[in-house]
Formats: sequence, structure tokens, C-alpha cells
Amino acid sequence: MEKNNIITTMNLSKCYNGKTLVLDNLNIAIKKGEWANIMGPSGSGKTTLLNILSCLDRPTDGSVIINGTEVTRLSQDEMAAFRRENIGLVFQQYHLIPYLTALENVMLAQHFHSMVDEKEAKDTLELVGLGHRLDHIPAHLSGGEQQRVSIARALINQPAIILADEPTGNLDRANGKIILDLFKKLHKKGHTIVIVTHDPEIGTMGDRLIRLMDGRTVNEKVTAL
Amino acid sequence: MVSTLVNIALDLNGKVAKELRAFGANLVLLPDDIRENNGQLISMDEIDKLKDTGRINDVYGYAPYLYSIGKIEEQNVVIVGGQFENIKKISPWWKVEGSWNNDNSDESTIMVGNKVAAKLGYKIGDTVTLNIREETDKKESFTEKTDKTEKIPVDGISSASQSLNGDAAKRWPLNILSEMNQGKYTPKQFKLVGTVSTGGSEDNQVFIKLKEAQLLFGKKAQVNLVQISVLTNKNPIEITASQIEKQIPGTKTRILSQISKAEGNIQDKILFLMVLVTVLTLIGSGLSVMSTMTTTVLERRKEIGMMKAIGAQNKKIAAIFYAEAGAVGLIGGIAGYILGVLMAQIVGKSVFDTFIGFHLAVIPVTLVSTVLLALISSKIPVGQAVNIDPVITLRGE
Repeated sequence: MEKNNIITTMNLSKCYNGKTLVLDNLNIAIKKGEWANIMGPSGSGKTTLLNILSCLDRPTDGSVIINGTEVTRLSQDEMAAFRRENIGLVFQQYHLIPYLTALENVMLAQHFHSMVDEKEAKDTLELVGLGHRLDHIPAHLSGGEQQRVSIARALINQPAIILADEPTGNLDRANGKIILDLFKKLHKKGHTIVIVTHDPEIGTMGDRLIRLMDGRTVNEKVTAL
Repeated sequence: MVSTLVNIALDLNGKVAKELRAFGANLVLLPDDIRENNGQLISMDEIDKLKDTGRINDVYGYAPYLYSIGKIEEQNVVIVGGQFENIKKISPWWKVEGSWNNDNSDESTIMVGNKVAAKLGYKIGDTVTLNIREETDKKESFTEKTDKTEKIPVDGISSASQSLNGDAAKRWPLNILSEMNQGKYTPKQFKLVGTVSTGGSEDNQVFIKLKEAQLLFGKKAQVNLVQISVLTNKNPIEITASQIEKQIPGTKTRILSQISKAEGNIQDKILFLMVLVTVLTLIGSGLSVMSTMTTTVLERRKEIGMMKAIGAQNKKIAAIFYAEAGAVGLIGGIAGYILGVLMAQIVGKSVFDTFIGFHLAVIPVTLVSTVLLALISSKIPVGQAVNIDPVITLRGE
């Protein structure tokens, strides 16, 4: 196990109901500051892998070491604490709280992490280009803007890793480009990014493309930005 | 509902106690030892002590009575001297056709029991000639003679009244009956102003004003007994009875225990009913809050899943929902208190014909109980919220 790997999975397996094997003895290593894309057909185990890497789910077998911590041994509350310290999540459906403004949605993540800092939240929204939309509720934002709020929320606690599940899946091409440009910017700043996607265009971005098929890696290749 | 019931419950004993005073006197004040031949009367000056609320508590009203015997058209009758304003207060069930004797009038008026009026054919406005037995010797007074054979003057009066019903031989001492026929009588004319119907011994008696009776019977400022109506919501009647005996020397009290016990039972049962309704209301409200909170949790499961995904620990999720439930309980409590006070007034006015008092203690009781109820009822829904699996909810299942 290399020292500069921020994510390492060893013999990772996930089986549902003792029958359906979704991840099969998976070994992956992602370096610090790396942008890795995970692609594969439906049912290949991409989202399950992302859930395990997000500490939202546990593997049936194997181990996952993130930022030096074996996360599969953590209790539920410890996993929640680890998640808020180390991982920023971006969802395909944004999952913003509908009755909170953009600023409040970002500050909510601060509240769960430690304490709220309005200026920092505003700065982060400025960073994603939403400085003029602070007081808008999600219903008054476009899909792209909502996804940018979601990214700001993922960034606010300065996590070591950003995990995104189909971040452009619900967006048109123009908004998708804005989001991808944002990920490029974050990558350049040194963030470790792991994106699960169906989009072949995203697959060409980042440092690596991890292809999954039936819960195993296939044809893994290094891409160039 | 809780606010309404607590407001009413706090006033209930007082209100019900006053309502129950319609049952009549529950205490009788008598001379200390009526068998001793020492006059056996109570001075009016002593009776005035019953008004001294600093020394004697919970006296709702009282009516002194002075009794004698007399004849109307050769029929033996019991003559009762009373204060009719007081009788009205402690014996509100008396039905008077015509008008009551006016305590303050100088006119000699009389009220007769409806059976006396029927038997003798009297109508309101007629002149009644009452032959009053002269008291030649104080030691041979009516009460004393009664007590030689019957210890209870109140019942004795009732028994005396039976003389008109033909069963005197059974209840009325023969020596008294014979003296009734042998004594010397002085006639006195009265104007009949009203007939009394109570369904009791009063139907066979005749009633004149106390002051006039005292004058005619030669018992100035004295009475045989005092009927007292005592409120029992604050203290047991025995305490009031003991205070009276202490404050009015030479007297003793007799508690009419059937009435007292009946009052106590009624108050206890009404209070029990109120507590039961309150508890059932709280249970119903609790189930309602639980149902609402469960619906809220189900509707917000994606939100809860997202919160967990961004790092919220279970205790923070629980704290959010408990805080919401507490806030709803508090707002509900404030609104409920205001509505409850209004409803209590409506209930008080319609049931007791009076408004329910404002009790500051109800405010914390209502607010604390609604907040606690909301928190306790939210326990199961909050447990559901805490157990939500973000993997499932964020996937949209």
C-alpha cells in the first residue's frame, strides 16, 4: 500500500441478501489529489462502490482505507463523523433542503461539522459562481445552480476527498460544462475527486478511468487532462 | 382541552360546593346540653359570630330558628320563627306561592305549609288567627320537653308537625300532646302572604318572622337552633364544626352526615371524571402528535438521508425533530391555553352559571404538559428518523 494513496480498497466485496454479488474482490487505489472517474454499465457496482467509499454503506468483505483510516471498522456515528471531516458528497439529484436558501443549505453542512460561519459559506458560494444567488431557495435556482450549491456544500468543510455520483446527469450540456469546469478548478487546487458517471466525455477527463463490469475492474487506464 | 379541564378542575370544588349548598344545611348548631334545664336557647349575639370569617371558615349561610306550639282553629300546629332572607339562601328548594315573609316589615305576616293551607282552606291574603301557647314557665319549654323523649330537636319539630297528619301518637310524645290541649293560648292575627311547599315537615308548619316569634314566645334575642350551610371544598366539615363550637360556647354542632357524605362523594366523582377525561384527552393528543410526526418523518426521509450523508450524527437528527416537536408543543400550548380559558368560561357559564376564575398556575401546567406530550409522542417517530438509511433514501426508494 503506497503512502500517498488516499483511498485504498482491498479484496472489497459487497453481496446483497447473500445472493447478489455487486462488488467482487475489488482492489482500487486512488492517490491524493487524483481525479478518478468510475464508469460502467448499470448494475456494474459503481454506485455501491461510491456508497462504500462515502462511508454510507459497509462492504460484506474486504477493507477500505481512506486517509489512513480503516473505515469498515467504524461505528455508525464514527462513520458519520469521518464522513463530515473527510468527504464531500455531490449527488445527481442535488438533495438540497427545499425550504432553506442556497446560503443556508451550505451553512447546514457547517452546522453538522462544527459551527456556522456565514462569511465562509458566502465565499464558497462565490467560488462556485453563486455569489448573487445566496438568498434563493432551490426552487428558484436552475438545475446547474442547484448542483453548484450542492458542490459548495460539499466543499464547505474542506474535505480531503470529493465524491460525486453522476453530477451532470440531470443537467443540460451548458450547465454540465459549468460543473465540469468547476471540478477542473478544484482538481487544480489539489482536491481528490472521484466521479461516478455514465458520460463518456467526463470519462476522458481526470487522471484515471476505472471501468467496472460485474463488480470487477476492467481495462483500467490513465487518462490525461 | 387540558387547559379547559384544568381551569375548570381548579374551580370545580368551589363551584360544585356552592351548587351542593342547594341541598340545604349540613350542620346544625344546638345548645350544649339540651337536657339540662338551663334555658336551652342560643343567644342571637353568639350567632353573629358565624359571620366572623377570621375565626370561622367556610360558612356559606345560616338560618336561626325559634319554635313553639300553637293552634289554628283548634288544630295543633308547630310555629316556626325564622329569618326568611337567610332561609332563602340556605334552603333554595323551598317553593313559596305568594310571597315570603319580609323580615324588615312591621306587618304581622305569616306563611303556612301547603298542607296546613289545604286542610284549613286558607288562601293568600286571608287573616289567620294563631293561638300561641303562653310560656308560663321557662323550664317547661317546648324544646326541653321534646328532649325528654326525643334527643333530636330538628326531627322533633318534624315529628311535631305530624300531628296534623294523624300519626302523632306514633311520633309525638304524649305528654306534649296533652299539654298542647291543656295550655293557655293567646290569639294573634296574621296576614297570610304565602304558602310553603318543600315535600318535608315544613308543609305542616306555620312560619312567622323571628323577631315577632321571639316577642310572642317571650324569648327575646334567642333561638332554639341554627341551621348552617358549610362549604366543604377547602376543609372537612368537622373543622368548621369544631371552630364554631370553640367560638360559640355553650353550644354543640351536629353534622348532617348523609348530606356531607353525599357532597363529598359527588365532588370526588366529578373530579375523578375530570381527571379521566384529561388523561384520555392527553392520550388522544399524544397519538395525534405521534401520527403527525410519523407523517413528517416519512415526508422528509430524503432530507434526513441527505443530512446523514453530509455528516449529521443521529443525536443531531433527533435533536432537530425533538426541537420541532417541542416548538409545536409550545405554540400549541399557548394557543391551547387561550382557547382553553375561553372554553372554560363557556362551560362555567353554562354549567355553573358563573365564570371560571383565572388561574396563573394553569399556564405552566398547560405549557409544560403540551411540550412534554409533544416530546414523548415524538419518541417513536424520532426513532424512525434516526434509523433512516441514507443509501436507500438518497437512491429514491
